[in-house]
This record gives sequence, structure tokens and C-alpha cells, in this order.
Amino acid sequence: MSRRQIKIPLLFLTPALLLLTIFVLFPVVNTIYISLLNQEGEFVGLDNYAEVFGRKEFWNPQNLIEGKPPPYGALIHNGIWILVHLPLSVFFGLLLAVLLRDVKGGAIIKSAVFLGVVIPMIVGGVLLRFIYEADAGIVNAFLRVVGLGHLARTWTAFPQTILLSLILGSVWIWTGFSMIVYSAGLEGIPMELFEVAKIDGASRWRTFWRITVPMLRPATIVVVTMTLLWELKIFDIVWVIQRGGPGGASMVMAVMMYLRAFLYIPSNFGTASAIATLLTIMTFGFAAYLVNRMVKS
Amino acid sequence: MSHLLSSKSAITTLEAVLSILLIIAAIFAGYFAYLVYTPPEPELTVFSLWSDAEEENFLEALERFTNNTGISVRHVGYSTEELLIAVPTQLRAGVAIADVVIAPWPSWILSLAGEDYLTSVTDMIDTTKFPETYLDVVTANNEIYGVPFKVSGKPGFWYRKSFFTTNDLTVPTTYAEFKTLLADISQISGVDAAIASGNGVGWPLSDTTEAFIIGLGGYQLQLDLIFGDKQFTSTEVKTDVFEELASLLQAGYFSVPDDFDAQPAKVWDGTYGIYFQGSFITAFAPFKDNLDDLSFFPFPGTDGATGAVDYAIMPALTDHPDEAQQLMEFLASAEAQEIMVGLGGFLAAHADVPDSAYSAIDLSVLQFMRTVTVVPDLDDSLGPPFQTTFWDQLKLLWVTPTTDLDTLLQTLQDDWSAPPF
Repeated sequence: MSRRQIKIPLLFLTPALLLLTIFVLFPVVNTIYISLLNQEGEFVGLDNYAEVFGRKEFWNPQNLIEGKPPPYGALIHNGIWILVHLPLSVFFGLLLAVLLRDVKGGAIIKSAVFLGVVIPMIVGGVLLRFIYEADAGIVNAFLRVVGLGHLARTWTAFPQTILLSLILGSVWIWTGFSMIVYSAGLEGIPMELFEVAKIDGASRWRTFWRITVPMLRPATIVVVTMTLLWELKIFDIVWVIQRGGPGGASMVMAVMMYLRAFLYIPSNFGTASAIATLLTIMTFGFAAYLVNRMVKS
Repeated sequence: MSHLLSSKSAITTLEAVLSILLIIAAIFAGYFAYLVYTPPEPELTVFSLWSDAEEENFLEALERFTNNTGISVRHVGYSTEELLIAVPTQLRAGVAIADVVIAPWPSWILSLAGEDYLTSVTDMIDTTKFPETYLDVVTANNEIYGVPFKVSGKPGFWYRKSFFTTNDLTVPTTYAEFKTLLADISQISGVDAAIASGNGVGWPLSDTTEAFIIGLGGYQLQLDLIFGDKQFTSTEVKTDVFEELASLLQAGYFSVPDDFDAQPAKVWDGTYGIYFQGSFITAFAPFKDNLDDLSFFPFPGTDGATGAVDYAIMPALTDHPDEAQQLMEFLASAEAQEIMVGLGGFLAAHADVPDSAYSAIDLSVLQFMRTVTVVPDLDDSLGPPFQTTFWDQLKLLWVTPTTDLDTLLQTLQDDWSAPPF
């Protein structure tokens, strides 16, 4: 490409690059810089990171190793979010997309499922509070109907159950996104492949496993990437329900960062920035790997 | 073709004339509007934590201010965290949306004062009219930064008198009698738990816990914990207070925490027997509608009680400093506080508000508070991070009373830092 040929595209890219620099690059670099300072603004190197990792609020694997209920620390809690929420969201999204593909009224059902994605997450958190409430909640009402009323409780009030309650509630909210992506992906699979499989006598399960799933790989990468990002930066639902409690049993990194930056007196922007930087590194790492896979596929 | 041109010219001329006439009309309209236009009186904005009954009462006091001065006031109620976060964020951004803020956290107020975000109120109030202890905690470098407006006593356990009469219950005077009372209430048909537990972000549980700290350890223990002269991990705190509290929780005497303003109704209908709350609870239904049947008893044997003060503060960045100062002086006056007293659930900080202004129940709270040593609220004095940790750990204790107390108390101690006053 000649210099002149490079100049013109670059010229058109300049406004976008400028905006990216001001609103993305600069804040990221500035956050990393602040993470190396103490509350007096003096350079302290990695002390803030050491303090973050030294807090049981962030890293408390002992309880997990001993088989006790949470808290396990925000880092481990975010990890549990990924381990539970991701496969469930992918599975249910794919299941719903396949089931509702050729069903009459499927579009209406899909719209209803997708509602969870479009409501503000703060509203989602409030809804979950009521869903899990001992007397008025639908979960406990269902348990009573099926004869398990003795299990009824406010599921978000107890350290043993809050983390899983939040994760499952979030699956309910987020599954609409994976369902829509998979629905679009299914539409993109050439019908001839299914016809050929049918002619060759392939079973439905074999067709699904050998044709549908591989052909949905790009959609899967999108779903996994976006879901991972959701799980790493989860805040609203956790904050609304118990602010990371009780006893830190539902604490996640975003809430921990928020407390230190805005609630503590005095504000501790150094440690908050350290947590933000760790989150950025994790998010960027996952995103870069997955996007690379997506581009290659 | 020429007629088209001429008709096009005619339209253009007509449009031109109409446009000019419109412009002239607009100029005249603007001129006359200017002549009759009176710039509105600046509207002040007040932030506070109050909503529902407390907000209604406060609006009545603000209405008096507007009637007196002609300055309109807009009130915005915030949740605890919203106020804790929104105000400093706005001030750091160089904006003061609120002209006056009412908040109960001395450490927070002094932190804002330390960053020069607040106006000193030393010259706005008559310091002889307020207890020194109320002013000391919001004083830095000999400047006072908060006007004591409302006092909330935390006198004890509220109960319905007829419930006690019907069920042959007696008000306890010793701690042993108190435990017997809890056992008796628990046996009553239809009662879910002896003591209602309030919820929210956690302060109702901390108020209850502080009653146990003061009741079982003495008011001095509360002060020692605030100022660091005793540690949360000390044997006294663990054995005398938290183990005792945990044993009552394990016995099922406390309800599962629920919204603090929903609990009065459950006390009234007999779901719960008693409810530890601040004196402001008398402004909430159904308590406020049945004051004759309402009473309280202090923690048996206590020598102290927590008194929390709501302070009015004035951001230095307010766009209406003169008007805001007028409002601050009004809130500091006996007039404003007497209005609030008359509406119930409010104890005045001003010494000139007469006892005759109080309802019988509020007066009984006031008279009780005069018989004990009033100490500051523990978590309000220390502020976050201790405050948020305290609330969070107590929520854990309430739902899991068998939680390891050593770990819990160490967690509290780790987040303790000396108060700024």
C-alpha cells in the first residue's frame, strides 16, 4: 500500500481513534497509574495490589477448601459466577433457540424471554429480591405447591444460598441474550445440510451434534465472550440484593471496587483502581483470546 | 412560463411579508414578556434520608420557612448509600445540587469539611442552645460544620400495651426478667418471634446490637469501642455481649430481618412482641395512629442510650449562599424544631423547645434520655468502612447465629479506624 493509500483510511479513522483515546485509552492508563499511588498521591508500586490480595474480602480460599459456605472472596465468587452461569446460559439459550425455532408463537415466547436482557439490571435485582422472598416470592410459592414448603426461606438472606440464588437469577435474566444470538445463528445454517443428513438417515440427535453445533461455533464464541464479560463485571444485581453480603458471601470485584472508591471515608481510589486494573486485565485477556478464536473461525 | 414566474414571485413576496410580521410580533411578545416577567425566587434544594412519614413532617417545617421568607424549597429524599455517595461525588465535580444536606454521620461531615466542601455554621447558630457533645463531633479547627436539627433517641423496646395486658406480660426490670419475657412471648399463639428485626442496609440491626453493648457492657464500653480504648476482640465484648446476643438469636427470639418500616404493623398485629427502634418510629403507622396503646421499656439495667443527631450542613459551592444560610438558621431555630416535635417522632436538639410541645410518648422518651448517659451511635461515629462492615457482619450473625464470633469480631476490628473528632 502506498503512503497516500494509507493516509486516506487513516484520516477517516482519526475521529474514532481520537474518541477511543480520550474515553477508553486515557482512563485505562490513568486508572493503572492511580493504582500505583497511595491515598496521599505518593507512588507505592504494587502495595495496593498486595493489600487487595491480602484481604479475605478478595481472596479467602480457606472456607472453600474446608467445604464451608461462602464467603470465599470476591475473586473466587466471580470465578464461581463463570463456572455456573456460563454453561447454564449457553445451554438454556441454545435449548430455547432450537425448541422455539419452528414453534407457532415462538417469536412471542422469545420476546418474553428476551425481556430479561432489556430491563435495567437494578430492576432485575429488585425483581430477584421479591422472587426469592420467604412469604411473597414465587420460588417459595412453587416449593409449597410441590410439597417442599419446609425449604421455603428468603434465599438471598443466607450466606449458604445467596451466591447460587444470584447466579441462577442472573441465568434467568441473561438467557434471552444467548437465545437470540443462537436463533440468529440457526437461521444462518444452510438447509441443504439438514436435508442431506435426513437423506443419509441421520438421527435428530446426530444431526444436532454433528451439524448444528459445529455450525453454531461463531455464535457460541459471541455468547461465551459476552457472557464472560457480564460475569466479570456483575454489579447491579449483587448491590441491590445484599451489597455483597451477608458477611461478604456474595461479594464480587465490581462491588468491592465501588465501595472503596465511593463509600469509604476517606475514599481509597488506589485500591479501587487496583481492583479495576485486575478486572480489566482479566476481561481483556478473555476477550482477546475469544475474539482471536472468532476471527480465526 | 412568465405567469408561473410571476405567481412564484407573488408567493415569495407574501412569504416575506408574513415572515417580517412574525418577527415583529415575536419581538413585541418578547418585550412585553420581559416587562411582566419576574425572576422566580431561588428554589433551594435540600437532601435528606427522609421519606414517607418523616418526609411529610419535614415538608411542613419547610412550608413554614417558605411562608416566612418567600423562598421555596424542594426536598429530595435519598437512601443511605445514595446520600453517602452522591453528595461527595457532586462536590468533587464542582457542583452542589443540594443547598442544604441533612445527614446523621459526623465522620462523613468532617471528611467533607476537611476537603473544604462545607461552609462553617459557627456564626449561624447560638451554641449555648445545643449540648456541647452534639457540636463537638462536627467541629474541626474550632469551626462547627453541622447544625444539630433532629435527635433520635434509641430508648428501648417498643410494644403494644394491650398486647402485654392481654397476654399477662410484664415489663422487665432486670436482664433475667427480659429473657423470661422473650420466652413467654415466644409461647404465645400466632407470634412468629419475640423481637422484630428491622432491615434496610443494616442500621436497625446495629442499633439493636448497640443496645446490647450498652445494656450488658455499660455506656463506657460503647465509648471505648468508638475511640479504640477497647477492641472488639476483647473477652468482655465477646463473652458479655456477642455470645449473649448470639444465644438469643439461636433461641429464635429474633425475627428474620425485614424492612424496618414494615415491622411496626407486625408488632401491632401480634406477629412479633417487641421492637427495638429509635424514637422516630412513633411517626410511622400504625404506631402514630395508636400512641395511647404504645409504650417502650429500656434495655433492663442499662446506664446509657444511643442518641443520634441529624445535622444540617451547607455545601460551600451552593449557588444560593444567602438563601441557604437563611434556611440553615431556620433549621437551627426553636421554631422549626418545635414544628417537627409537634408532628411526632422528633426530639429537638434546641434547648428552647418546651416539653409541652411533645406528645406524651415522645416526652417519655425525652425524660428517659435525661436519666441515662447519652452516647454517640457507634457506626455513625466511625463511618465506612467500619460502618458497612458492621452492618454486613450483623446481617450474617442474624441469619447464621452459629457463625464464628472470633472471625466476626476480628473482621470488625480490622476495619476500625479512629473517629475524626
